[in-house]
Amino acid sequence: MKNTSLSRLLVVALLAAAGFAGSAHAAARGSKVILLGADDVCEYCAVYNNAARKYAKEAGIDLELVTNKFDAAQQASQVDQAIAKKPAAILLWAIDGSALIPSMRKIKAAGIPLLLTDVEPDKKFQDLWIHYSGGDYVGEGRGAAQLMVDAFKAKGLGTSGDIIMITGILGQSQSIDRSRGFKEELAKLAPGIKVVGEQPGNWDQGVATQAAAGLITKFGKRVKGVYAHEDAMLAGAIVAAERASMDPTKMAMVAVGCEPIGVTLMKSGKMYGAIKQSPLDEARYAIDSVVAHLDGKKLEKTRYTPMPAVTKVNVDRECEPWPAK
Amino acid sequence: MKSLTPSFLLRSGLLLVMTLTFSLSNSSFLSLGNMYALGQSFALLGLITLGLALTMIAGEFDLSVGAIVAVAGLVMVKTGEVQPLLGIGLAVGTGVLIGLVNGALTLTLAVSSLVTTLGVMILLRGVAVWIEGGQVVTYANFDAADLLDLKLLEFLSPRSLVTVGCFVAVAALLRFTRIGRDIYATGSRRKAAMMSGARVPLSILVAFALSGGAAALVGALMSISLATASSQFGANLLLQAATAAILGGVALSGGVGRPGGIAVGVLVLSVLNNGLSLMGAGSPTILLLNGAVLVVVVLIDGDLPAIARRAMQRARPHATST
Repeated sequence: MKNTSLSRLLVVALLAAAGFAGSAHAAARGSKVILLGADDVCEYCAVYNNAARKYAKEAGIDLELVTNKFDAAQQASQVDQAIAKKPAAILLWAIDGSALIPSMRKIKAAGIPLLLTDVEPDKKFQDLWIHYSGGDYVGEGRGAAQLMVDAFKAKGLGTSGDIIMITGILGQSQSIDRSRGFKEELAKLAPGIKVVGEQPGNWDQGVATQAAAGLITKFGKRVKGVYAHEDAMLAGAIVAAERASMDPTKMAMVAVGCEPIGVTLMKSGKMYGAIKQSPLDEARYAIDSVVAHLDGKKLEKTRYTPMPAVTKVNVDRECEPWPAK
Repeated sequence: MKSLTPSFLLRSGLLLVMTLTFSLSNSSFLSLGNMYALGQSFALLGLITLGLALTMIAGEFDLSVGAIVAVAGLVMVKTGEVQPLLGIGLAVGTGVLIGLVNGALTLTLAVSSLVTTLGVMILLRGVAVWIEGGQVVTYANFDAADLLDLKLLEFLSPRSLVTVGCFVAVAALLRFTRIGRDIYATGSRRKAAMMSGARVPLSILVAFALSGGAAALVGALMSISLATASSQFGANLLLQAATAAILGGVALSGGVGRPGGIAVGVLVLSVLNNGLSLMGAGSPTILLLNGAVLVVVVLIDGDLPAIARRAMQRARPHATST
């Protein structure tokens, strides 16, 4: 009798535990999550958005994607709308790391869990978000500096020379951080290599071509290498160099991304290397963080996506092709 | 009533139809939270459209409004750290000054304001980048942001009330003051206005000064709300303001437009964008529909007087048409 009751009790307890665990995981399933992100107009963003939708579907999350064309005021308005919909969580790709801080405060005041992706605002505000996953831009800049030093060596340029930098949109934290990390590390590793000029390429290949052309006209053959904040922009700079009758295969060309265009350039020898930042990794980390949070798991504050240094040697291993839409 | 022109009724009807469509297709459209978001959009777009519309009514066009937003925001953050009102005051003052420069250049060079304000716009974008100095310019006074965007009656805020106040003030200016009448006259037929004693140069200066001041106020308040100033702010606002102004019945040729109509035009665009965004429409779709609505309204507007006349004739077949 006692044994039967005890075993019954145990069975009930086990079932309850199993049911509880099952329901805890079910907490994420079916939850409504709003992802406030960047428009498909930017290729990286389009790949990220499609990947996020796919991973969210696999995890059973009802993901609503709201995008904006790189306009902070528009995104702030979208935050107001998102708060009104009372989702289980908000995943935010802050179009501007500092302009969205008041919006993040509103989200916190509304009691909605906030997770960040791709853009990491100033850490002094970290009470406003639960978790950040995505690129480490200062780290990428540092990695790029190392690549630049390696590139100089590989091309027989020694340890000193002049280079130019093509940045992203001025005033954006990604641009500022990728510049800062690069310059600080370069000063430590090879003080002889100097950035003599920099211009914004605005994440656009065409704009980067013009920006680089201007700098090359000014500095001429003094320019031994180019550091661009993104592969697509380096592609533009390479066009400018070739038009000026310079040979990019003999220059130290370094970028960030390891995008399909970068892979092509590395294989052809026109680009020495890039620091990888994959939109697929970022989307994966972002959705995983949302699922983990909704399942009640504890998250570390920050989780950076892998950023290996990639050159012709390891490009096939490291950089997966971006899926077609 | 004189103000209920067919044009105004068309636009109000469009607004009503859109509101109904969106509220039926999405349950959160009419929620108080979404109405607040809509009010904030109106606050932003309405004020800048009002300023631009004034220059259009005077027969000119201010292309520099977007750039003034950026510069004013930067001035506000750089000077208003301790006392936000001082920063706002200086920003608006800067805007008014730029507006006066726009007006003066247009008058003295005797070229179209499209040319002068284009030049000023490009110059100002450069000035903004220079003020920014390659840094992120943040405004740490979050209390000011909280106050500015505080929910009043659940869907209003001090920011939207400022815009409403400006609409009322401009309406009074245009209706009850001599300079208001002069601005309409300047935009309708410039030569006739000059002959009849309207103060044309003053009208142009006032219109541009108010446009600059309004754009600067938008920039200053935006920077408080976003706790940041950036040389990139306001980039999309010029086209939106122009669209809203035309949707609001302001004629590009000048001399036509009323604050009431302008408010409806701004609401049409704000409701459209808010509703589409709520449905999850992407930017390309939103832009496409903005353009489509504009084209439809302009096309119908052209035929509207004729349609109205025919309708009236059918209603009173024995009366003589005026």
